Amino acid sequence: MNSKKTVELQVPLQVDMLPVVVGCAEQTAQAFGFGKKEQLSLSLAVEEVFAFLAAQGQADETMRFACRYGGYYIEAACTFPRHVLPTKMFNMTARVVVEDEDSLAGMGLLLAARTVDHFKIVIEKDGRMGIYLTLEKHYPQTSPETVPIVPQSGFYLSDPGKEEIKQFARYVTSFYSTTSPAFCHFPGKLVDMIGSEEYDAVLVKDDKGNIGGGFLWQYNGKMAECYGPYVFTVQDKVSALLVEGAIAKLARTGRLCLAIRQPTEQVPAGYFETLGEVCSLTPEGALLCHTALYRQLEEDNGMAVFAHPLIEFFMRERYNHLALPRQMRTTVYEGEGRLADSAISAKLDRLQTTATLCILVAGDDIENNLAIHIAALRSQGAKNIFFELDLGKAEEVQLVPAIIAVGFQPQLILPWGGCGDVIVFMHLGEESVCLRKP
Amino acid sequence: MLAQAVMLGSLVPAHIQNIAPYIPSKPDDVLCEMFNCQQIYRLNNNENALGPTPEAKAAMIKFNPRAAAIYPSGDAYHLRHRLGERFGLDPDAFVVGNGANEVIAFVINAFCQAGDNIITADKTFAVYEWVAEFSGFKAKLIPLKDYCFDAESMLKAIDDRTKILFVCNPNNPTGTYWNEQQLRDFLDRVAGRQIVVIDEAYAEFVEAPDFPDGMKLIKEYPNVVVFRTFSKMYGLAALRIGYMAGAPEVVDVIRRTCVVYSVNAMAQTAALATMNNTGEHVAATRRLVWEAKNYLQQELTNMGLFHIAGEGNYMMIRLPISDTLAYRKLMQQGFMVRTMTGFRFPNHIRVTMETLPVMEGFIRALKASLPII
Repeated sequence: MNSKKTVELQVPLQVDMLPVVVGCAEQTAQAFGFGKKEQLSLSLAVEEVFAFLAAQGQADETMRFACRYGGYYIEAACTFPRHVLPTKMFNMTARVVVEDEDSLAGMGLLLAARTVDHFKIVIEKDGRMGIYLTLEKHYPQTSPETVPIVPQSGFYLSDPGKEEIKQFARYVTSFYSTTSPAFCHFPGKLVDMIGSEEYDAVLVKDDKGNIGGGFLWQYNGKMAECYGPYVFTVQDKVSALLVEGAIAKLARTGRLCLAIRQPTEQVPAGYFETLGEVCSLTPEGALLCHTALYRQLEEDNGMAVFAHPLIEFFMRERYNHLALPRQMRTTVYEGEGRLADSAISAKLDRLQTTATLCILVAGDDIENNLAIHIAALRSQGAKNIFFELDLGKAEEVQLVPAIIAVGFQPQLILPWGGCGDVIVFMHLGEESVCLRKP
Repeated sequence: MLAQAVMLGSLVPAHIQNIAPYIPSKPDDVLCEMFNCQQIYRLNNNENALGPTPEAKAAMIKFNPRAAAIYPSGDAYHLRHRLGERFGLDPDAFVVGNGANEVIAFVINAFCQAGDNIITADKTFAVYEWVAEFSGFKAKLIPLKDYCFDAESMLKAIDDRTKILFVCNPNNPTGTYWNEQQLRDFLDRVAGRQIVVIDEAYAEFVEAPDFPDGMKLIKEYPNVVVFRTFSKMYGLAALRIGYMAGAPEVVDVIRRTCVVYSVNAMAQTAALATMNNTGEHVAATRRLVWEAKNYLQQELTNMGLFHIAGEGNYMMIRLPISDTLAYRKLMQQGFMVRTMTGFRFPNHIRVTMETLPVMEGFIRALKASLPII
């Protein structure tokens, strides 16, 4: 089932258009089946964003506004000319200083960010800027006492139906308790996630129709980000069946690779390569460490990547380990002209208390800017802060000294994790754990 | 003035938005630099290690460069007549294309319209599925049974919107085949309600006496369309030339969707000359394939690696590591194989049969690429 529906508006960036945009957000949320509370949250966030942008924009400029229904969420996207949100201003979504008038002007954006579940700012391919506000539907949590039947024999792969997805989610929370993904605690949500076609799954059933295991993934650009495999039986062939089923389903989709950041112990041998160890804190503060796994779906015939001397050794070691053909080109900043103000995009997942930063604009103030973002995110409860850097962009790689100076350390390389390879850093803050080398 | 952005979102049909472009491998010089190796042995495309026939080589050498300025025969006139003589069919029973891939598109476009579907196997040559899907038609994929096309399940999957059934005989990559009786049983049960395409790209490699000749079935079963190619056995892969044959009334329909002038003059000349070979080339190639397979099977058995050595000039090997990782490790040593994840056989590679020294080098590279066996 494809649940995608979109409502779009093109509005002048003028304050008197505020009711049009806000009304659209509220009524669209209602039409998409969201409750009164969610309707108000979304319209409030949109109101704050539009009021801010209209105050900055010029009379003849427009904003494209789109509300998209993703099955388990609604996403409001505001796309507008880049100058409307000056670099300096949109960094203020990370911090507000009450004594500073400019900063207070950015208060609206901060409020908007806090009203929704996910907030991100991106520079679109056409050069315009986009603010994306995502609000998830509320679902009832699963009952924890569910005990699954243990299937025994005659296993076969199956595309799951709705009730099977819900049953699978309950089994995962029961079998894997603290290590189960948060969304599995909400079976109805998992049904809608798969219905959205942003996620998919394969299940293994036995000859009586009992679920013996399952494997989930999210389509994420060129990559499939996987969860599992979850196995509810002692039969060791089930996990291989699941992985082969997932690969078969992904094989001709054009995805280049799949990764499991938090694999279960049931991952079958021989199907994956190790990327490195990822340690993070759960919302409850428990430490979780996993060896992230990876495999490519297509033949990799190489590409060029940029390397800063500070991470060159790390990169070389990782690429050798993965036998990945990469031509490393060293790059350092040598005083050439660049903008004074950097811009950082922060993707904040409040449910998981995790933030992921990336560079939008490389600028001289990157170190200070990063330090402010980190402080703000920590104060907002972010326990894990990651930084993702595209190794295909020299101007980003040149910022590595600043990234390391504020406490980030390279953790792993996700081949084809973005436009090209992405290096993932983790911030070693007071609450963070010491990370081991892969 | 700033260039305007193209509104691709509204221009591109949904079924195209969901398709990823096929990215062919880079040229050897680029690959050698990327993988830091001296030479690439291409064991990935099932090409013929012996190259073209002596007759085709001579024809290409004699090819008058001035002919490059003249359009070729738009429908490969002479070649179709020659094929007609060879197979005892009307010249109009043939369509020559820019490789067999092109004729796949001709057939699908000739018979399918919105809402129609085709049926083939899940683990076979991918182009039937790709062409159907990027043309907006559903491809029903039937799992192989014991590595072979499953006739019963294919027949069960037929509905009133099924237009074409694709059977790859022998199957690429498993090398399994339907014998004549199996194929006839299948065609009898289809009973002319759908077009049955028999892709015989590797037919010339098969020595088994019960292997059916699709060309001989066309008169008896006018819904049969046979694909053949000059790329594999006849070593003309670079020239891109293949053909299909069928009953003239069926081919007349297919011809309406054909791109004429798509087959260049050099390809037509070389293909015509190929047909003058009296069989020495086929025999020599079969000998090479037999020797290579024999050697490889022994080595793989000694290494404890499961392998499927059916018909065709290729073999499939199951590895204890990811096939895409094995690909990279083998490439570092100069051996290019075909990963089978895209064929839905994860952790398998397909290897083209080459001369013995190349096969020996491949085995050394494979041993160096795998964990201790």
